[in-house]
Amino acid sequence: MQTIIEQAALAELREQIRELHCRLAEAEETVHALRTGAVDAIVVSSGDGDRVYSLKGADEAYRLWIQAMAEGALTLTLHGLVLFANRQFAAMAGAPLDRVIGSLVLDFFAAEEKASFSRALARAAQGRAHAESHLLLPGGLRVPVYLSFQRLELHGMACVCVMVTDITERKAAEQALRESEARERARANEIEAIMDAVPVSVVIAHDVECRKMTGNRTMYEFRRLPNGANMSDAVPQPGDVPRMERDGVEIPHRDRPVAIAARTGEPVYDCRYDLVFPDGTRRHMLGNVVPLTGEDGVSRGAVGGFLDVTEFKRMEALLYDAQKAGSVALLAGGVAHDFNNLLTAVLGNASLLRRHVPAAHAECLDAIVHAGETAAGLTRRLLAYAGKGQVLSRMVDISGCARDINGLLRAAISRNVELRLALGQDLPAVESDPSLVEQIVTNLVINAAEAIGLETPGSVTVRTAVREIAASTIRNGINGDFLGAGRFVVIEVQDTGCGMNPDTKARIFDPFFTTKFFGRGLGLAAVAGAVKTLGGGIVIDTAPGAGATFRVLLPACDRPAVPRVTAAAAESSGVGTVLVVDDEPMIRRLASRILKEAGYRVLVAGDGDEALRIYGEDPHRIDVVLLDMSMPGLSGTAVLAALKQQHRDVKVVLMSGFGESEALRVVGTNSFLAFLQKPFHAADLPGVIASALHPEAQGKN
Amino acid sequence: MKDKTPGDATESFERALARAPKDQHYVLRLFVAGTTPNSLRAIQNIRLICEEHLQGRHELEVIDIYQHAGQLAAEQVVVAPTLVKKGPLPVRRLIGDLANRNRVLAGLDIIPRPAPE
Repeated sequence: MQTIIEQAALAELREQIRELHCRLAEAEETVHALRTGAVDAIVVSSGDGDRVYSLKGADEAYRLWIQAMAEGALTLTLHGLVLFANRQFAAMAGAPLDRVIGSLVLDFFAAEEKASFSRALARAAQGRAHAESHLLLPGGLRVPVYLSFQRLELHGMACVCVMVTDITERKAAEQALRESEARERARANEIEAIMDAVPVSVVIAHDVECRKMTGNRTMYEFRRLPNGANMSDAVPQPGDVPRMERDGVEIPHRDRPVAIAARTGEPVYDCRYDLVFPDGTRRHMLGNVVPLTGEDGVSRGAVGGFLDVTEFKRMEALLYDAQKAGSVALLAGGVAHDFNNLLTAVLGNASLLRRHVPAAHAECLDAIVHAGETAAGLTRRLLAYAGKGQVLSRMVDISGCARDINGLLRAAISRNVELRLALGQDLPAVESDPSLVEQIVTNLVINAAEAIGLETPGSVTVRTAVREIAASTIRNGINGDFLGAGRFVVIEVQDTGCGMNPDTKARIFDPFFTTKFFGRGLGLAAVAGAVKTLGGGIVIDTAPGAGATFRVLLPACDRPAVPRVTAAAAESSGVGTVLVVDDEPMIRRLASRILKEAGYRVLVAGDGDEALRIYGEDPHRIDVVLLDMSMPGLSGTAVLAALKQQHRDVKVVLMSGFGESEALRVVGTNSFLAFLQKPFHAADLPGVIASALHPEAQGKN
Repeated sequence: MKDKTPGDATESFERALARAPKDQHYVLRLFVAGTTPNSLRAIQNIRLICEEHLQGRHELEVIDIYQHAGQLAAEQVVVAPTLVKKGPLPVRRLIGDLANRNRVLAGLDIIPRPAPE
């Protein structure tokens, strides 16, 4: 039972509800429109009127830009509260974006960097600031960042905008650059050390025109310049610079190897030139130059390395000489052997004949003997030079030896030359073969006399002395080596002759080198051979026109000298049978005749086999065997060994054109009783045989 | 729930209120629109409120709606800035720059709501 009033009120309420429904629907529609983006702007009404807010406006482009850029972007309060951050910053900091906005920015930085960040922020509050720092990621990783701060008034509020740039790559690049620079420095140091270490002169042209040239330590020392000096000829050099020559002609600047390589960009290999220093020193140089090219392949200079080959060249020349000398020695030895046999026949027969011819003809025979002896001397020199001369190991008194041959020497030299002897007394002995010492003195005296010539009066003085050499300070004139320290007996031969220039002096010991019209060029070569054999040295003091002094130094021996012993002349007293073994019929005949005249019975054999057969037939029949060492087929050495095997007590006298020492070297000390040097005089042979048969009577040395 | 009287509802609300402060963990989500004025102020204001009243018992996420498309419909966010209290329940939404301290505290149930006028 509703009253009309109640019905009216109900109707009004229904109307109100309907109205509210409509307004709600309208509101929901508005919300829906907003949510679905169906509106572009919102109108905001306030006391001062309506304001329109665009939902998509002109600032959208900048917002999108900030959101999309590769750098981190932050908007901070002056206290560091993050009001805005883009996704890139969140990604750099390793945090979700919704945890970044509204947080304190310091939370994202490494602890030790918070203070510097705060200072930068404070500076930025006044305007702008920059800083480098490290973001601290949740895992502890630190990311280097560059921070650019800018103060900004946003809607009346003081803010700071920060641009955050990840500089990991830049830092890595910087680090790589630093490491690369360190490597470069280390490499440069290494190269400098290598340059200083190599014993080669290195020169560097730093430009194509060679206006700046430096070198390594060796080069500066070699050129006698201070380290680091510019060696270019384009700049004034302190003092005189060495001249660069090839074949004695100065090389123009532009034709020098370094200049060529720098200019052409082509390497120059195996270039040779001489550097002639202001003091006249000449050095032979050998080297290579390579161009220094830039990355474009164009030359920008050159590097050259040069060796001072002066010593090498000298050694090379010496080696060449030694080889030449070696082959000459071989030849000399071969010639001398045959020559000796001939001389043995000549001298032996002549001396034999001398006994039987009347005095009127004796002069002719003496001339033959004299010529033969001269020839024998020449042969001895050849053999001495060949290093196969007779070297008997005896204690020789040098002064006595020189005195003995005094007469011979005077006869050998020209009459205008006076020979003076100034011989030391009680000198130590020299272990040598007396004939070697004779050869040395004879050849030096003859050489000295010939230097004076046939016309001018002059003198040759022979002195002997003893000398102590404390240290290796004296160079051997033969091969340039230093003589060892020790005690030496000196034979000095001084002349007043023409003297020598350095070139002649350098070649004086070469075989067949002579300055004389009639010279054979063997005298001084034989001296050098003999001195070498004796382990001594030669020092020459000479100048053109100032005469010459040759000093031969022979090692002194502690043992006393013994007097010379010559084979005893046992004339016509021979008893016994001698087997003469020689392949040369001349020698066999000569020896047979000499021995028969001396009273011996003689058997002969033409070779080793025959000798063994004859001896084997009846060993007791033969008292002594005279055996030649050099025979074709079975050699003397082999025959000796075979004889010794057959009969231990066989008595053997060896004969050879080579020296006794050679025989000793080949067959040993105790296998023969005596040695006969070819060529021999008729008078020598019986004595040697007698000494072999009766050693107790001879007092053999 | 049919048998619940309005009085019951009031009672439980009172209980919830009494329980609310001191120990409850707050999960807050603030939706802002870039660096617009209200948004900037809203960030600073909610930070201050959190530091003063919810020290050590809150999570605050600030979401730039420009950089978070897609999440908004689910959260029923229509305008920015909007603060959503996701916890403790019930969910509440507060619109604007959050400058009125008392309204915000009441809206977050940190202090009792003022009596209706």
